[in-house]
Formats: sequence, C-alpha cells, structure tokens
Amino acid sequence: MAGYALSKLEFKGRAVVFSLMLAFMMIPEQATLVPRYIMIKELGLYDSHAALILMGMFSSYFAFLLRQFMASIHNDLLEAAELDGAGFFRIFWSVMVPLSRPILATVGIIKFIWTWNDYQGPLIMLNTTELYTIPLGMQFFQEEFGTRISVMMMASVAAIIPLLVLFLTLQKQVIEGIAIGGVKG
Amino acid sequence: MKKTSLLLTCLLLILSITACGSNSGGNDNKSATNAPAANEKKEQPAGKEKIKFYTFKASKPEEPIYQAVQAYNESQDKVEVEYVSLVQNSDSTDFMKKLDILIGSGEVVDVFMTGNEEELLERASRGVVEPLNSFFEQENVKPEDEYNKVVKLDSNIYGLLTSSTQWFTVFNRDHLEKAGLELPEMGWTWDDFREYAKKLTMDGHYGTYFHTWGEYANIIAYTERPNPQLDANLNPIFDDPSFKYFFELRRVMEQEDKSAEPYADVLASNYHVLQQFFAGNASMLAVPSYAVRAGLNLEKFPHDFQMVYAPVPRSVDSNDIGMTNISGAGVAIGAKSEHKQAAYDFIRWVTKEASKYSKDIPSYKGADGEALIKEFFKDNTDLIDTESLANTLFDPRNKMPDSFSVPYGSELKTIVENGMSSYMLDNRSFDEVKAMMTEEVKKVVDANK
Repeated sequence: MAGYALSKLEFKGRAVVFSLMLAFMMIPEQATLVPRYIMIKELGLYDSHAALILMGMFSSYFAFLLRQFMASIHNDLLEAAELDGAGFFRIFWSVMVPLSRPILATVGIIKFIWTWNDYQGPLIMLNTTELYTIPLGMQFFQEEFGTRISVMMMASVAAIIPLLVLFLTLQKQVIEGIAIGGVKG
Repeated sequence: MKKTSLLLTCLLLILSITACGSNSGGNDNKSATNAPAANEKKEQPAGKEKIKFYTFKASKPEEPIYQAVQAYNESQDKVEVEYVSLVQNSDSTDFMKKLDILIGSGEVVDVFMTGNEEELLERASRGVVEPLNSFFEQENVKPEDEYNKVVKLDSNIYGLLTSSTQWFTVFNRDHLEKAGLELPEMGWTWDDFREYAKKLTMDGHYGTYFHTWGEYANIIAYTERPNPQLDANLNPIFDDPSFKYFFELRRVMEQEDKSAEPYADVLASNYHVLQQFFAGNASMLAVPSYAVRAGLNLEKFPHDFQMVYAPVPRSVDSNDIGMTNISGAGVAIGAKSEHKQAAYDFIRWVTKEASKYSKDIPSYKGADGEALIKEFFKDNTDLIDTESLANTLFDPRNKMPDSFSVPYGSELKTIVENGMSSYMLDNRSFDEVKAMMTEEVKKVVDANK
C-alpha cells in the first residue's frame, strides 16, 4: 500500500517521505538493534514469534521496489476505474493488486527466503528453545568439542527443501518479477 | 470522509498490534519510562533476594554449572539464584552478543559468566562491571591469598576465575613407549620438544600438532611474558628473540622434520584443537588443561590410550623453570545490580564449590588440587594418568609471569595469528612479517589510547 501511495497518489511532502525512506534504507540492521530490542521489550513481546513477525512486516526496501513497479503501471487504467465509480480502496484492490502479481510474488519469495535464513533477529529476540528457528537450531550441532558436521549438512539440506518447493511453485512469476524489478539475490 | 476512514483504519491497526502484544499480564507500557527497565521491580517473596545469573552453558539438568546453582539455592535460603541461559550451544561469542544487547538496553544483570578473561576485561573497560575491591576489604580477605589469578584492570579487580586452566604437554602413552622415550621432566626446552616430535613421528602419524590459534604462533609469549604481544609501555614485543625462534621452529618442524601437520592442511580441515591428538595422528600436544576433561568424552573423541602429562617446555635461553600460563572462565557482577552483596557471596561460593560439579580445577588456593584430581578421575585411570597429572599441575615450582591484560587483547591476538598464517603460507621472511605485525599492533594500541 505504501508503494501505491508513493507512486500514484499526489500529496504534499511525497518527495520528502520518499527520500526519507531511501535514507533509512541505508542504515544497517545492527545499528538499530538495541532500540528495537528496547521497543520489543516495552511492548511485552520479548521471547515470542510475534516480535519477529512484527519486525518483518515492514520493510522500506520492498516498499521502494513496489513503488517502482507501480509507477510503471499506466494511469489510464486507474482513471478508467475511477470513471466507473470505484473508490480509493476499490481501485487498489481490484485494479492495482492483480496487475502487480509478478512483483508481489517476487517480494513474497525474497522476503520468505530472507526471513527463513535470518540468524541475528531470532538470536536476539528469542530465548526459549521451543521457539527457535532453523538457523538457530542448527547451532545446536556445534558442540563444545567440535561440530557434528554430518548432521549439520543434513539439517541444511532439510532447511532448503521448503525454499525449493516455494520457488518451483512460483517460479514463473518470479522470473517475470526479477526481470521487471531488476532485483538480484 | 475518505480521509477520516483512512485515519481510523490506521489507528485501528496500530492499537490492535499493541493490544495483542501486551499478553504478559497487563504490562503497563504507558508509565513514563525514560529510565531503563531497571525500574521493573520483581515481586520479592518475603525475605529471599533474587539474583539473575547469566551464562552461556545450556539449561539442562546434566549441565554441571546448572547443578551447582541448584545446590547453592538449596544450601541456603537467603538468596535465590535464577539460572538464565542465553544460548543453548555453549557458544560464548553469541552469548556475549546477547548479553551486550541486554546490558545496552538497560537490563539489570546481577552475575554473569564469560568464556575467558579478555571478554570480561572488554566489558570492564566499558564500565558495566562492578569492581570487587570493596567487597574483599569488607570480608578482610586479600584476593591474592585466595586465588592464583584474578581479572584485573589497573588496580581494580573486576572478576574471579571459576576454573584454573593451565598449559601443559600431553602425551599418548602408547606412542611414547613405542618410541622408547621417557616422560620429559620440568625444565625441558623447546629444542627438546623438537627432538621428541622427530622421534615420535612414525607409523603414519605426526609427532605433534599445532593449532591455528594465536597462542600457537608463539607459546613462549604466553607462558613466559607478562603480556603476549605488548610490553609495560604498550609497545609491541616482536623484537623479543622468542618470536623469531618460535616462528622458525614451526617452519622447520613442518618443512624439514615433517613432525607436525602442515599448517595449510590444519586450516583447511577445520579441526578441533584436540581432534588429531585423540585420533592418534599426533603423539604429543602442548595444550591447556581442559584436554583432561575432554579426554573423558569418548563419544566425541573415541580413543583407548592413556594420557600422560608433562609440563610445557621452557624457552632455551630462559633460566626460570616452571613457567606456564594459567587462565580460566570468568565470573563477575554487573555494575547496575541491586543485590551486589548477594551476588558477591554467590560468586565466591561458585569459585570454591562449583568445581565439584564441573570437574575443573578451581582457581581457589584453598582447594586441595591433588585430592580433587584423584576424586574426579578415580574411575578413569585407564584414560588419565592421575599421578603425572597431579605432578604437572601442582608442582610447587609452577609459576606464572606477573601478567597484565588489555581490553583489546583479542584484536592483538588476531594480528599475530594472521602474521603466522602469512609466514607459513606465503613463505615470507620473519622480518617482513614482524614489520607487518608491529605496524598493525601499534595502530590498535593508538586507537585505544
């Protein structure tokens, strides 16, 4: 929705908001780790998956990506919908979203892969063993007297399978999306 | 109309997130807290002080330090210690990361453990560790009398050692007997070490093994110098003849004698420091004393030979015999703790009694080391020769250099490791490598002045 707002709606300060968003993208995750930890603690979400979900829900990088894609959609389509009497949300839901399918699939896959492989977020935010994610879980094979490499390799392969399945299901959209969005890795 | 409905939707979303977040029994987030979370006072059951002990060991019932904490809680009822395990795989680096974030965000840390002294010193230099001098004075005890080493920075004592890990040389008894060699006596030199390694190289196994750690670049700097990289004025000591000697010794042992596994192979194979020794591919190893306990772990290191022990060799031109390096895992009190006296009593207890559970030699002078060793390993005499172990660890001639540490010690160690890497792999001359290391160390020291 942020992408839609930034690309198609005219409002005062749009350029400022956009440039701020770009500026914030340059800050590395580690720099904001302590403030984010304090925020999560204050919200009472420490040591829960909700903390990770909340942090993962918002990303300026993907908003930027979607904004670029939506900017390429011709305004005539939106005006036509408006002429037919569609309201703000109706245009977004019935016109914008279906047209953005390839980029949404791409964003979905990339975000899924990043979150699946994320080590730092779960390391800091989770404490109970039952809630650990796969990258953290694989650390268990690293024991005091050496790494159980064979088991770790097995776990890595098992961890890759869902990613492969996802990619194979959505690969048509991804390839289109990558070509359009110019995204790497 | 449209704008208001948009605003209302956004507000609704934000409120629903906050609401579903506060599921820990009505945490009042609205209270003006610009002060750190230290203001959350936990419910104190009448009389008992509660302190939190952060560690990198797992919170499993088999974990020795866990059992030690349970024992402490049962042995007295004024203080209850909560065992908080931040990682489950004993990775002290990940643990320190999490601990730093906890401390940085204002969480009150009462007692915490560290993997080694350098980690403790780093935190001490940032001001988050409580100095213990006043507690010792109150107890009317001189720390030097009680412990053979404490973690000091300037004149403040910041932490105690829970165990005493001492460097020695461990031998594979079968290989030693096969080569017809006697166990070396205290006072043997690194030249003797080279001879032994040559004689022990046979039957497809190497005489010895050198790991990739910074200590193995020059063990003499660790056992005989106050600081492995710096002198008292914080200048690098790479002009010290021991560096040239040891670097050349490593090269000659690898290339001419072929008594040690090539450094390139060691790097590529990612061995554990004890792996090749227990696999029977190296007959002797200069290593810290945790090798003893590791030897009991037959699942990780299957072997059936007995380990015999000798002191670490001395440098050829030194007249001091018995010098070795002693260090251990640290334990300390957080500066913001509100139960400092209770925390102090707890860490004193840990340094004296936890060794029963962890089977490590305590750093506490009052413990009878020989008796402890016989007690710990009485069922394992087929794997551990307790006599030579006790003789090596508790020889009255054992002494440590009057050492000092710097908070950025681990950075300096990495510089030396890289120097050794370059020397062995790129075949450079020692003077080139020495110049490189000197420059890098000076940079780090200046950056930290």
